[in-house]
This record gives sequence, C-alpha cells and structure tokens, in this order.
Amino acid sequence: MSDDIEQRLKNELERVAAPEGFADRVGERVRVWEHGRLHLIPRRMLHVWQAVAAVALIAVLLGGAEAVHRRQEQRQAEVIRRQFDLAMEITHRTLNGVGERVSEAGVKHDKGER
Amino acid sequence: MKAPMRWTRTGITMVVAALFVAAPFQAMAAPPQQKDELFAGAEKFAKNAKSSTEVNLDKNMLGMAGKFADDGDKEAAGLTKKLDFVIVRDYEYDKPGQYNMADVEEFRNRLDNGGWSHVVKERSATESTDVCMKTDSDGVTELVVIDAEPNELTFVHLKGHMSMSDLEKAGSKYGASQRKATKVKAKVK
Amino acid sequence: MRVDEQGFRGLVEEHQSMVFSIALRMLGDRGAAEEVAQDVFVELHHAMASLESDDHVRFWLRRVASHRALDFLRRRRTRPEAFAEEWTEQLNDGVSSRMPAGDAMETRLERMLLTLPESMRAAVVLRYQEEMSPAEIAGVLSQPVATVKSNLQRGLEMLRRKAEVVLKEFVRER
Repeated sequence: MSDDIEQRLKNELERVAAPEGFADRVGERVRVWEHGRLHLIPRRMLHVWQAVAAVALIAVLLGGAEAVHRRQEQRQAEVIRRQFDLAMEITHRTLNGVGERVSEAGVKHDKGER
Repeated sequence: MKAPMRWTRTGITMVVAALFVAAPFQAMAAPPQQKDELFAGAEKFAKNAKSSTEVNLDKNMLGMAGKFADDGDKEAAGLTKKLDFVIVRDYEYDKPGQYNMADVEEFRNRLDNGGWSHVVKERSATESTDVCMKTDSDGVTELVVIDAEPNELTFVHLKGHMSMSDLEKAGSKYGASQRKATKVKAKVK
Repeated sequence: MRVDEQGFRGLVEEHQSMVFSIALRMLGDRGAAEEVAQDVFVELHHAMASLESDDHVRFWLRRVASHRALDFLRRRRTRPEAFAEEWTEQLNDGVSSRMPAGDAMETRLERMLLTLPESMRAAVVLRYQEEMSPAEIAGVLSQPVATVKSNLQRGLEMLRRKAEVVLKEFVRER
C-alpha cells in the first residue's frame, strides 16, 4: 500500500499547464511595475529635495535666529552700557564731590592755621 | 501607517528645531545680577526720593557691555573688562530730611568689618562721606563710597582691579563731570 | 543574469508550468495559484541581476514559489481541517462522480494532499511533483534535512490512511 501511494503521487502529481495567456499577464505586470518605477525615481528624488529643503529651512531659521539673537544681545548690551555709564557718572561725580569737599576743608584748615 | 509616522517624525524635528532656535532667547530672558550684601536693604531710601537710580551689573553683563562697545569708548570698555561687578544706588530728594541719617549709619557700620581701609571719613551735622578701599600689590581691588548729602544719598560698590585714573577716564566723557573734576583739580592746586 | 524583455518572456514560458503547479498544489485554487505565480515572476524580474545561471533561476523560482504560497496560506489563515471538511462535503455531494474514474481518483489525491499540514504538503509537492531530493527540498524550504524527511514520512502516512478511506468509499459508490 505504501508503494502504491508513493507511485500514485509520482504518477499523478505532474506539472499542470499554466492558464492561457499567463506569460502575457506577467509581462503586463512587469511593464506596469517598470512604469511605476519610473514614477518612483522622481518620488525618491523628491525625498532628497524634501531633505535638502528641510536642511535649508533649518539653516535659514538658525541664521535668522542667530541674527535676531545677536540684535537682541546688542540691544541688551546697549542698555547695560547705558547703566554702566550712568553708574560711572554717579561714581565719578560722587568722588569728585568728595574730593571737592575734602580740598575745601583743607583750604579752610590752612587759612585757620595761618 | 507610513504617513502618520512621517508626520510624527516631522513634528518632532520641528519641535527640536524650535527649542534649539528658542534656546538663546530663553538664556537672555532673565540676566543674573550680583548679590548686593553690603547695600542689602538700601532700597528703603527710595521711598521719599524724587528720583532713584539702581545699577547692578555682574561680570557677565559687564562683559556684554564691553563686547559691543564703540571705538570711541575704549576707556570704558577697558574698565568693563577689569571690573567684576558694579553696584550703584543713587537717591535724590526734593528737600533735606527725606531720609533718616541713622539708617545710613547702619550701612556705614558694615564697613567696619571685612578689611576695609577708610580713605575718607567725613562727618558733619547734615552730611557724611565714607570712601573705603581694598588694595593689593597691583592697586585697588574694591571700592565703596557712601555719600550722604541733604538732598542726595549715594552708594557705590565696585570690585575689580582698577586705578583712580581708570575711574576718572571712564567718567570723564560726561561734560559736567569733566568740568567739575577740572574745577576740583584747580582748587586742589 | 541580464535578460531583455524577450529573454524574460522565454524564462516565464519555460518555468510557468512549474511555478503555477507548485502554487496550485499548495493552495488548491487556480485563481490564487495564478496570483501567486504572477507575483513570483514579477519578483523574479526584480531579482534577475542577482541570479547567476539557469539552475539558479530554477532553484530561486521553486524556493520563492513555495514561500509565497505558504505566505498566501498564512495570510488567508487556511487550516488543513477546513479543507478536510470541504473535501468530505464535496465527496458526499458527488462532485467527483461527474468525472471519469481516473480523473476522479487524481482529483481525490490532490484534495487529500490539501488536507496535509502546510509544511508536509510543501515537502510532498516538491518531492513528487518536482522530483527533488530531501536535501534539495531542505535548501528550498530553509529547513533541516531531518525535518524534511520527517515531514515526507508523516505526510505519506497521513495520505495512506486517507487513501484507504477514500478507496473504500469509491468502491462502495461504484
């Protein structure tokens, strides 16, 4: 019986013919795929361009941010600078005032001694 | 499935970029200030003042001021590099008696400790002046001025290696002060 | 291998029967078998550059046809039990009685084949349709040779048991 089933499989499991027009349909699908690939290439290129555009956009953003940052920093520096000048002016004025008073006191003292 | 993933990725990229772009502004939002221990509480003198000026610049801020200095401000720019901090409080009053001299005394007493050398210590019924310094072999390292006049009260605290000529040069660009300084020099002669 | 359009068509015509038959015996459905066979040849077209000889192409086609058929079965979640039930129902409905005796027996053998678990079925199809050795089948299915041999033995045993039942039914019907 075991020989029989093996023999039957050998005899009966023969290749069957592919359906009529199979090769044509495969050819058509390959052509469709090739056509799709032609469209796929620009799509891939589009990804490259998207990446380039994204990098350019980030560069512009960073450049713009840097420019704005620098302008803000400059503006802040000007404010600080004015504060510094004011502080120095007050310091200078105060020290001069002190010097003036000290020297006046010295002159009075000298006159008194004479 | 791919499109949402792409959008998620794009979103994350944009957020990271936004944070990256915003970072410098964040850092600039609140500039730090020098802790003012010597004159802490002096703001109470602003209460009756007709005008008050309070300047507190730390090393970073002085660095920034020096960085963008004009060519004509070389002396001032040079001084910003030398100084570690600048604290100035100036209160002007309409008439005498708008502040309590006893309150000023509290600030003068702080100069008794901490290794200060008194250069000027002047007292009268209506005025008082204290000029204190700390020095090392290279010159002045710290300067404090407390000047109390009937209509004006001034606190100055500068730290850094400086000379009196540095201060004079930095302050000399103001015409009035220059004239006043010249007048003082002439009188001293 | 580099082939032009005509050369590729020649390859399709040469191997279409083999690929279609592997898919058909694995799936038991001509429509599905053609779909899988077409996919295999489209895939072959993409893979031509990496194939080195006619033998390589034949090995590749058998391998990809078997795997794509198995993938198709997994996607369809087809269970052997379902086929067995379907087969029994059709047998009882006398579908095969409309065919000549020899055709009916062949159909029954193929239907019995479809009741085998997928890995056994693939091994049996490649062994008896393609006349491949267990070692060659192991290469195509990416399985150890011992597994292939075991699947073949167990597959044959299951087919024997089913054939005995079918034969009795067939004799009783006649």
